Amino acid sequence: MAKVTRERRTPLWAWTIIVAATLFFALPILAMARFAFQRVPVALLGRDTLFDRWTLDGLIDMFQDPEFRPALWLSLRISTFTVLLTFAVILPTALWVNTRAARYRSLVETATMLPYVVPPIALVVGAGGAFRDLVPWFLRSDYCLVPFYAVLAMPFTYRTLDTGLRSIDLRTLIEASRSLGASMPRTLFRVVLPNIGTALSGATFLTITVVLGEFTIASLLLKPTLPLYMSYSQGRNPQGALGLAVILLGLTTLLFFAATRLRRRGRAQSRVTIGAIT
Amino acid sequence: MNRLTELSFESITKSFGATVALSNFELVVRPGELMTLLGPSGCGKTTALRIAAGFERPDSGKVLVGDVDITARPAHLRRMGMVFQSYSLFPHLSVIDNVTFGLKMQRVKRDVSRTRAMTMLELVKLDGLTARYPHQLSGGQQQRVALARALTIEPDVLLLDEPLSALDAKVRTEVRDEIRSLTTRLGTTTIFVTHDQEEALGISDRVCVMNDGVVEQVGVPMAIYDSPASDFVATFVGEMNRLRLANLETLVRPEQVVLGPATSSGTGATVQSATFHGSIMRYIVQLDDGQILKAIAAHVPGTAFTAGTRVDVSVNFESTTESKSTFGGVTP
Repeated sequence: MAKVTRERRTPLWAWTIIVAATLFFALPILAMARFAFQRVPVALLGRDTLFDRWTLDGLIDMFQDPEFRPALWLSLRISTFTVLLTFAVILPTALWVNTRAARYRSLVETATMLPYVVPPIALVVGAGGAFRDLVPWFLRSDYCLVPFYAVLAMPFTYRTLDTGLRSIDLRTLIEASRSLGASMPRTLFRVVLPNIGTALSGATFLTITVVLGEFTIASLLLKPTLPLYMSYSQGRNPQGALGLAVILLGLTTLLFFAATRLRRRGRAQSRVTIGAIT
Repeated sequence: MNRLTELSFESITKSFGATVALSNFELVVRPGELMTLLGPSGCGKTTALRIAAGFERPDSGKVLVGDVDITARPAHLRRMGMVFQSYSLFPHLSVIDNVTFGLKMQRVKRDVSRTRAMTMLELVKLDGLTARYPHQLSGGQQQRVALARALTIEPDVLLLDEPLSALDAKVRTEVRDEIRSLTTRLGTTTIFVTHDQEEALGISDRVCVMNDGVVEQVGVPMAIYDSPASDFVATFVGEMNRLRLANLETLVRPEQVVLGPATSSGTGATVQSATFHGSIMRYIVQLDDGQILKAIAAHVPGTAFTAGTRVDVSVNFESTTESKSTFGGVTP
């Protein structure tokens, strides 16, 4: 069969915008990387010194700093608990909306958007004021960040999980499983969760991305997380701090793309299944 | 594997908001029989099935398996195998894992559950596809796996919710015959929900015709067709002509309308359309008094009438002597 579709070429103006945008974001990161990984005085960082004295010394110094590891571990622990809290609260909500309460969908979606419109400072001042009187130990614990971060990540996590649940025939799968003798918890763990694996991974990555990048709340609540450590260590070891920033930026970007790819693959899989059906 | 279980609905009423889905619904499905719930969309047939499965709670009334009231029993403890309209296989599990799923839930030993699943897959002729995943199967194959999966748990009652409606015509007939032969062979009490009357008449031991949440008639397929208890059943099951004779209106099946070559003494009509369906011819004829009738005749080569032909029309009332007396449609 002759090929009838003509290949569309991307117009020049589009390329111009793509290149300009890429440079706009990439050049500062490149500058950061050069500052972090080259032992060259800032005033001499130019074209002539592009390949001179690249080193990981600043980063190694930072890794050897006794305050670094506790900050990293704290952020990783908080990431883990935030992911768990998200799955404990947001997943049942998304399941509830998709099986029994479709009429509340728009209400829940609006509620999950609230972190966009409520600034973190308002969240901390409001919630902090309430907690300080009611449960003072709560704000003293490092883990008090977990619910704040779960709320901050909610716009991303809810949508990701909701998309995952909507891509499968949830009600029929649940009913089929129940009719075969599976209780609701077993149905959840044996049928529902395995079929939204890509959405779960996406939500996990997005939550970690939010936790690793959050500064305001940790700073206001005086919790020594990794972003705070990086900010404070800039004075002592600016190269190490910026080096770590570059690595974190790369890591979170990778996680973000991984989440996006997984989501696309999930959609493609559901299309394949639907295709086989029709 | 022969579970002879009776399922009864006793005065079931169910509403969704202002809509009454079932009103005082009474039905007894006898042990081992295949009962079809037949009716138009919104008549309550799927609601009745879902109440039997435990996915809906009735507002009032009882569901009994044998003598045991299961109205309040959760769905997963009811032992009801169910096959759905949309393919409900678990996408992340292979065919064999789908079929053994219910047995795993019952904590049956792995080798026993595999043997039972293989037996069932052999019965639906899919024992060669055990390692495949649902997206690698055709629609017909998926429904047969779903059937095997539902039957492997040896359910008290098998519930089939329009399982054929997503399949194309040829596969539909194959799967329908397979359902019939399997349920007969295993002696499983079965409720089959459909809006397709041909399907209902072809597969059932008995048919329950429903309309607006109430039972219109329960009976064997031939009785439903030949002796409809109400005007609704007469017009919903099979095709029907309304024929005015003097001051009487009577209901006549198209196959009772007999066409013959035009004579000067017969009831004259003109063939408006003639369509060939292989073994039968379908005609639409207009009587000289203006009435339109549908007619069906066995196809005999060289005897078909073409559109525009003048014909004589007669009605073979003899074949419906019994039904005429019970027609709700015979009105003064």
